Amino acid sequence: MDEREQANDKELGDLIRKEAIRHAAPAHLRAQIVDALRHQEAPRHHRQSPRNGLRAWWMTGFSFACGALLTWLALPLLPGAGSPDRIDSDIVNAHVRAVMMARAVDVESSDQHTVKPWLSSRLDFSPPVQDLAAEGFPLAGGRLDYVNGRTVAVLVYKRNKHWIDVFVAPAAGKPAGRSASKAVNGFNVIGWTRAGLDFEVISDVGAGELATFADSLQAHIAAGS
Amino acid sequence: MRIAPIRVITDDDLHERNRQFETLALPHLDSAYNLARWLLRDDQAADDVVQEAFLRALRYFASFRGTDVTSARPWLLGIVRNACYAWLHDNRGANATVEFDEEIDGVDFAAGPAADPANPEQLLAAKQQRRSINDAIERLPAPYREVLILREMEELNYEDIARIAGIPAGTVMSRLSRARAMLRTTLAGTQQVGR
Repeated sequence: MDEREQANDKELGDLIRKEAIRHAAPAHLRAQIVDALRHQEAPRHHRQSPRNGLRAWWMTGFSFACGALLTWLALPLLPGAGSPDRIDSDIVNAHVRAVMMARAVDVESSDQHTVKPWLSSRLDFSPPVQDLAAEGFPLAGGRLDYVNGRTVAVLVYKRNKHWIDVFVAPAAGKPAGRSASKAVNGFNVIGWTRAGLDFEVISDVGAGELATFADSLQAHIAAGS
Repeated sequence: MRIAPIRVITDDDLHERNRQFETLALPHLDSAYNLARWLLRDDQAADDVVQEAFLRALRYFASFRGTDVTSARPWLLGIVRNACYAWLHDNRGANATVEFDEEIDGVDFAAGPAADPANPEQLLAAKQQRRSINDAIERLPAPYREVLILREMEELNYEDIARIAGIPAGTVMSRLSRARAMLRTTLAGTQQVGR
């Protein structure tokens, strides 16, 4: 940029700062926000003597522990929500729907630094995003989806004309490790857990190709974190 | 990536967290509102979206890595910006064409230190200049408007703008120069019409 251009830009900037309205937040908005921020903690602020407070904590903790124990004991008996089969079919359905409705991506970008903040700002966790264009799996973007009763991140990759969806969600106490590739309704699915996140890869590309994809994604995530 | 050890969150922790959030986020309320108001071009929408974005920011406060007020600014503005785009997406067409309202928007323009109040002609020219500049910015497409507002009014650096808008720094620069060019063309046009 030459000096004249720089001077012109500076002149325009000065003009904008002088003439354009810098909208200040109205006083009522500031008051509302402060109020809302304080209100958020209000339900937790019961006045209690320290001793009672401690006892209440113990009681609450104990009830939770009992509940958790019962749930943990009963969970394998229930074939419904949360079971691996149910999650698989959720993922297959979500993948098919996304491809059919041509709504594969909410944020279309091959730039991981665009996709990652887009997803992070809409979720309560931050999925690792890596572009695998060098390996022949370019990043197409990301979207939000709903699987097993919670909002999850979906990283979308392309392989020639095929879509590869990577569903990422916080792993609820699952041990780290990778599951074998399996076929569900003609789609190949590979899952693994790493650093508190559950990854499920699904696509109609061949099982071998999908395994290659899963390998390089795992390697990139391991190198990137 | 690392899993934080499990720790019981107490009332004091929550109180401390909210207090810390207020200290870091509230100083940027004007910046947040200015960005939202320029992106949404509507007072009420800017009100709603900024309030929602602040509550969302509080929820994500744990993911904020900085410790000082300065580093909280791009983080918070990024959340506000995304909330604005979500609103625009949900209300497509609602304010796609906001016409410049002389009655409402013209009022602000009268209050400027630039013109000599004794000279009505000069006052009128200053008023017109103000109006055409605000109007021209308002008519820029959102991706250009946002980089221009962040750079020229909020005076943020390229890296911060890139982080807020979720685009590479190179794209920030090219959008900024395109925004300036569009603005110059529009302003040149109105000046000729005015003469």
